[in-house]
Amino acid sequence: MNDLQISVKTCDEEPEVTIVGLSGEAGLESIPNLVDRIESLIRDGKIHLLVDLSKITFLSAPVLGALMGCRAHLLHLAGSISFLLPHSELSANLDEMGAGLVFRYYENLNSFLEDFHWHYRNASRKLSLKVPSDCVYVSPLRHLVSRILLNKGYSSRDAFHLEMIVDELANNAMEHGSPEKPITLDLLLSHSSAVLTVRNECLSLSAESQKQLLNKFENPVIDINSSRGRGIALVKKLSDKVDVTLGDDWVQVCVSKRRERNKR
Amino acid sequence: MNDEKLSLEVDVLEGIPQGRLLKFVGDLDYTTTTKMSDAITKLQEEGALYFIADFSRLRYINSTGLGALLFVNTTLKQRGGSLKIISMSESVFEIVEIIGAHVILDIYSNLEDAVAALQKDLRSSHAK
Repeated sequence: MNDLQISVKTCDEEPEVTIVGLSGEAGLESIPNLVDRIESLIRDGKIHLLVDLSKITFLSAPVLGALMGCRAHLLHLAGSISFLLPHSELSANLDEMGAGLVFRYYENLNSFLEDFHWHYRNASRKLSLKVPSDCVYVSPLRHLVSRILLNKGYSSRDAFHLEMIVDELANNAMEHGSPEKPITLDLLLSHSSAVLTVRNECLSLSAESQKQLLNKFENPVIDINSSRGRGIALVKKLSDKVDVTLGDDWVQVCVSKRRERNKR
Repeated sequence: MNDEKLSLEVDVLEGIPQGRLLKFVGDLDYTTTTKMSDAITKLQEEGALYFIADFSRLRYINSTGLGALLFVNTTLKQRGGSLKIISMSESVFEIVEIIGAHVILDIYSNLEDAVAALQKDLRSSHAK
C-alpha cells in the first residue's frame, strides 16, 4: 500500500494560493490526516487551495467526500478549492463520482491562475470588434456577446440584457452612422461588471444635432404610439450607467452594467 | 443571413371563424420583423382577422420587433380584429413592460384564457 503523502507550498505566481500536493493512494485511512492538514491551513488563513492530484494513483469516494466537506468550509470563508488534474484517467474517475459538479479541474497551473484572477482579482477580458455597417451582422454580434457572458458565469438575465443593449446600440450606430464605415464594439468584461462601448462615424454633426442627440440619451421618451425611440429608453433601463461622447463626425456610447449575483 | 432566426407556424383557431394561432419560434428583431409583418398581412388578405400569438418559443424581442407588433395590434383593432398574446417568457415580458406595451397588448398566460377572452369579445360585438 502506497500511503498518501501530503506536501504544502505557497504558489510562487500567486501568494494567496496554497498548493496542496497529494501523492500515492488516497484511501479511507488517509482522511483524518488530509482533513487535519487542510483545516490547519484554513486556520492559518490559507483559504484558496489548489489540490495537485497529478501524483495520485487512487482516490476513493470517501476522500472526495471529505474534500467536499473542506470545500464547504472554504466557501463559507469566501475561499476556494480546485484540482490540478493533468491525467484524463483520474479526471474520468472523478467525473463518475460526480466531482465535476462540485470542483473545478485544471490541466495546468496557468489555466488555474487565469481563472483565479478572473474570480478573485477582478481581472478583465476585452473583446474588440470592427463590424461592417450592415444590420445582418447585429444578430450574430448580440449572440456572441450573450454567449461570452454566459460562458463567464453571468446569469442568463444579464446575458439577455447585454444582448439587448448590443442589439439596440449597434442598430442605432448603423442607422445613424456612415454606411461605408464600420462600427466598433469593445466589451470589457470582469467578474463584477461589463462595460460595452459602441462607436460609429457619421457625417459632420452640427452643434444643434449634437445637442439633440445628447438630449435623446439623457431624456429618452417612450411614445407607445410611435414606432421609434424605444431603443435608447431600453438601453438606459437595462444599464447602470450610460455615457455618450460626441465628436464632429463620431458618436460613442459607453454602457456599464454590474453583474447580477446568485441568480444563475 | 438571419431569415432562419424566426419561424412562424400558423394554425387555424378551432371554433373561431377567421381565427389563426401564430406560433413564434426564435428571435423577433430588426432582420426578422419584416418577415413577421408580411406573414400577418398575407393572412389578413386571406381573410383572417383574429390572431392569438403563442410566444412560448419566442426567445427574444427587441424594440423594432416590439414596434412592429404594436403596429400589427393597432392595424387589426382598426379593422375590427384583434391580437392576443400567450405564454410570454419572463425575459420577453420584461422588455414589453419596460416599453410600456403591456398596457396596450392583450397578454394571457395560456391559450385557453386567450380563446375564452376572444369568444367573449366576439359575443359582445355580435350583441351590439
